[in-house]
Amino acid sequence: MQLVKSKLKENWVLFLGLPALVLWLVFMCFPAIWAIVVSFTNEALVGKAAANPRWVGFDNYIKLLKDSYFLNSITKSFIYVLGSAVIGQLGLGLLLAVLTRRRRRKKDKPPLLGPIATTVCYLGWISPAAVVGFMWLSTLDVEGSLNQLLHLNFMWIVDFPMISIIVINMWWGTGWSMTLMKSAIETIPPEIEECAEVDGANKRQVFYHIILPIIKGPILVNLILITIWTYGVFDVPFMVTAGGPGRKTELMTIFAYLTGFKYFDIGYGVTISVGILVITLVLSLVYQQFLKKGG
Amino acid sequence: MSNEASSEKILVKPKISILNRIDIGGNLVLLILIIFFTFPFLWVVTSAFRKYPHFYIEFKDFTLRNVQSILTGRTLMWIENSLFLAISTAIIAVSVCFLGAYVLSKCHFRGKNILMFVMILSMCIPLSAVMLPTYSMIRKMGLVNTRIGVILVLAARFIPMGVWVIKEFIDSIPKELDEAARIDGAGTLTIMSKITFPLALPGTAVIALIAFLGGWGDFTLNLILINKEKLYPISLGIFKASLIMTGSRAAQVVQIDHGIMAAISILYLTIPVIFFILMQKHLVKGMVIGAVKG
Repeated sequence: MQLVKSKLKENWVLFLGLPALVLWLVFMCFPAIWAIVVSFTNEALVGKAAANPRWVGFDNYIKLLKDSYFLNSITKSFIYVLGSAVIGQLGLGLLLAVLTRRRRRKKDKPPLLGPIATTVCYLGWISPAAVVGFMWLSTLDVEGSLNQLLHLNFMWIVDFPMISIIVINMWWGTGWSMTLMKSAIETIPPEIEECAEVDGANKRQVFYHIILPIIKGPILVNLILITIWTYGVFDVPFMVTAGGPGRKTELMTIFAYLTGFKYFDIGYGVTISVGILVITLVLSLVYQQFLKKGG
Repeated sequence: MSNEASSEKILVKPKISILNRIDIGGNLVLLILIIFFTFPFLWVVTSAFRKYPHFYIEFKDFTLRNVQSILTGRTLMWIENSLFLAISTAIIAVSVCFLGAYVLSKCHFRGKNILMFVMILSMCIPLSAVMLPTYSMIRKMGLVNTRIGVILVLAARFIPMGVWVIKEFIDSIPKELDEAARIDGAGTLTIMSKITFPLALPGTAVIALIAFLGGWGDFTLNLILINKEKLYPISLGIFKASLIMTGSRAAQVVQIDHGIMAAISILYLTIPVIFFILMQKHLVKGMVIGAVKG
């Protein structure tokens, strides 16, 4: 009996894992497969095609490839990820991690405001999506507090929609990057920096030539993770701009949602979802490969 | 040249002045970042305690009326719905994840490695990528506009991470304990409930907390699956109110009480904040394990 080795001789124990397996397969994995099925139909939100969708072959895919709004949404998603994840969250997270790190040697200058900055950054990170959307809506409103502070009269969300949702996501997600970068930097023994300083390296040189190369691994891991996550963000940008004004902030996820729930075309919306899934899958496989290689 | 000069500086310059010991530039940057991170909170926090709040931040007409009145009527219903979602998600997710993690940790079976690979891969699927097919599937099951539909999907999406983290904890329990108990005549179920479960409790508790927060904070799933006002959790309530607030301000059709909305936002935010303060280290560790070791 080689099925169950050494400790457990009872096969029935395997059945204890069944609830988890079933729940996971049905409600998490199956929708991804179901997406492919539905994308070949004309299922609608309401009406005749809601109850009895018809097979339409590759119609949805052909429509997708010809759809200029789809290209638009890919571009918006790309800008969004580049701005808020790669530059925003990673850059800001790294900056915060460096500025707030603990004082490890006597001659280090203590980061006076460090603990406060870390706390408020976490505060943004743990805020639920609905509150984040609500707070930023009130902040960026024409009569909102940002205009009050700056004595301006901008309609931020209408005038700078893309920048708005990028900054909001930076605000929301930086806590994660900061945590990861902080724990990576803290693994560097102080002696290494000390050696470099004795050799005459200044702060900038220590950062670029000592710290960065050592934490290259965690940075890459973080980069791939926040790329995947930011790419899948829907809630807050949807709440703040809902893709508008016009289609200026229509990310792929918002495009899919609007197609399904505003224009009632579930079949076509799901086809867009398949597009999102394919891109996510590629990113995830890259991540897996990287983890295997980098340990 | 410049290298030599700076090394000499380090050797020669004694640190006397107090200003020299504070990193002025760094703290200035930190100050700006602190303002950036706190600013959006200011309006909500001040408005929650005002009688006649507007969109501006003003410190006047202080009142506790808003805080009292969120515990009545519509907002109370939202709170109850959110609590129900969060607690049920946590209970289902934890019990199912613990058993799954136990099997993965203790048993060897064919295809285990592939299963774990697919599990981790599925963790990367964002909800927004599958929200339409999920809606289509849940509709076929007849679970649209039911709490159970939302809870099952929420709990299921939590399984890969939950199983992974609890498995790490179970793996770290010394095998000798199991063997000793077995020699003393304990069965598998006894060992699981009397030895494995108590020892893996810290990990299980963290997972329960994260699942609770996941149910508490969910917005997307409720948005697509719930359309009845009676079933609105706080997130949907705030969303619908904010739609009216920004959309109809010009028309002034519907009046939304800004003070009450601000107060409920604060309450909504307080739960994760309290949990986070209590469990900061474990929570962050659990999340890092879940995301990175995967």
